[in-house]
Amino acid sequence: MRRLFILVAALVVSIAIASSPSVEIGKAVPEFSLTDINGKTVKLSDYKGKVVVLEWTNPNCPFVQRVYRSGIMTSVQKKYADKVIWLTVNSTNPKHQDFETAEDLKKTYTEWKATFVSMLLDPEGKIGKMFDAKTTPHMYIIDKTGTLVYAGAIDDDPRGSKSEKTNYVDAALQNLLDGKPIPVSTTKPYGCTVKYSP
Amino acid sequence: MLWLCLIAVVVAPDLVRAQLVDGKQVVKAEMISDANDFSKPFTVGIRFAIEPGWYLYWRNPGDGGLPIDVQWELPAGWNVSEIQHPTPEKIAHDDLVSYGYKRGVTLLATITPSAESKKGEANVIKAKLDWLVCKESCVRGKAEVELSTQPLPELKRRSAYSLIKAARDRLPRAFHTAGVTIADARVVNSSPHRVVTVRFTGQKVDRITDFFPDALENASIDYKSVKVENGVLSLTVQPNEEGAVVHRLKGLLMAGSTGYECVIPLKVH
Repeated sequence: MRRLFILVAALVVSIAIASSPSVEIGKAVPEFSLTDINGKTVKLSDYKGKVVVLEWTNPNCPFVQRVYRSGIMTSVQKKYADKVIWLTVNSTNPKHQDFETAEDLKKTYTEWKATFVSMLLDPEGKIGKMFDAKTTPHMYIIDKTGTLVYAGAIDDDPRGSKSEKTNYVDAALQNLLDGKPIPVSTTKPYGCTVKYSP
Repeated sequence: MLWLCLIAVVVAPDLVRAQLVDGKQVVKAEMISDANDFSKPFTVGIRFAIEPGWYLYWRNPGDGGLPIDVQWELPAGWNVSEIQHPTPEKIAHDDLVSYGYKRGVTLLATITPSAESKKGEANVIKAKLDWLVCKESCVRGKAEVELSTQPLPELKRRSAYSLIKAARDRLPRAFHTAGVTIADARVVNSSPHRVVTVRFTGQKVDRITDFFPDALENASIDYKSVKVENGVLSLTVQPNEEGAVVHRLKGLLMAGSTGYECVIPLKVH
């Protein structure tokens, strides 16, 4: 029976590996392309050799609204604006009530004083699912070699109630740009679930 | 999104605060008790009535969401137990998994008055509440609720008794009553993930249908990977830091809608 269990456990491991998302910490991020809010096609390879931050977003999620309005997201965007390529991704499906047109998105994020290179539209959720993006916000950092080095929350304060908080993305980018190892490579993201198409 | 206009209102006397979304109250919260004598330890319930279609989150919300937060304000010398959460249900949206409560939930706690408390003495127990309620979209909610320890009207006490009893009936049960035991539990490194497998045995092993995990401190759970088949629980976790080791798994072993609270020590391989 014990041997059988080990066999089953090994099988479970192999199935888990086979069904793992194709984007993983410590591994090269596969090429992808999406259209941005200005209708331009943006490819990951356009930014080869640069640090890339991906931020999953949905302006109608209260967590996204909070991190923008309180400056938690925008302060990091501004701090690294000339050092990294910041791409914001919206995977909300067009039939969901949170869906907004490119024009409305432009208006909202301009009002929030967001700083990003492009806002990418992923209405079919293909790239969101490739990254296994679960929440808005959900943050990813890709280093200069194209390897995923961070996946998780923007900070350690889901309720927005801590007086002293750790901004994981700020810490990871600072370490990465200083050539130091990133101490925490994965954290549990918090926020609304990504509104993928059913 | 314009229709999502959130307004908080206070309704006396229980400081019931409601969320209005599109003119409808989404969540109404109040503090209830069925106690006669508030000078001895007694049960309080934080009752949330939820509009159909919306849901609140369990102590572990799953992939998204936020657990209900309760911050107590008690009279000096009084103490309160940990919150007891009734067994939630699994709410799946495509590949994303949440654990929560639809229609309504009553969180329970035991309050122990100070040794000097006397029966009939007027005291006020307060709690600040913070929650996220979701349907298609999500809305944050906050409220302050309170309970006076003066004798309650009989009708109100009876109503509280029914709600508290229903909540008690939905509390997770002790693992030893599940009719199963843990035969083997291990975590295997399949870098960058760890795969947890737990084999249960026992007469009632066929009744086990699912597992609702608590969040791990040093690793992130892939909730969509959680499954129970033929008495074997399996799930995948991702350590947060290099070298982080997952030594144990906590959560509810589910037999249909009944949850059994369990802590599973894991052998690391």
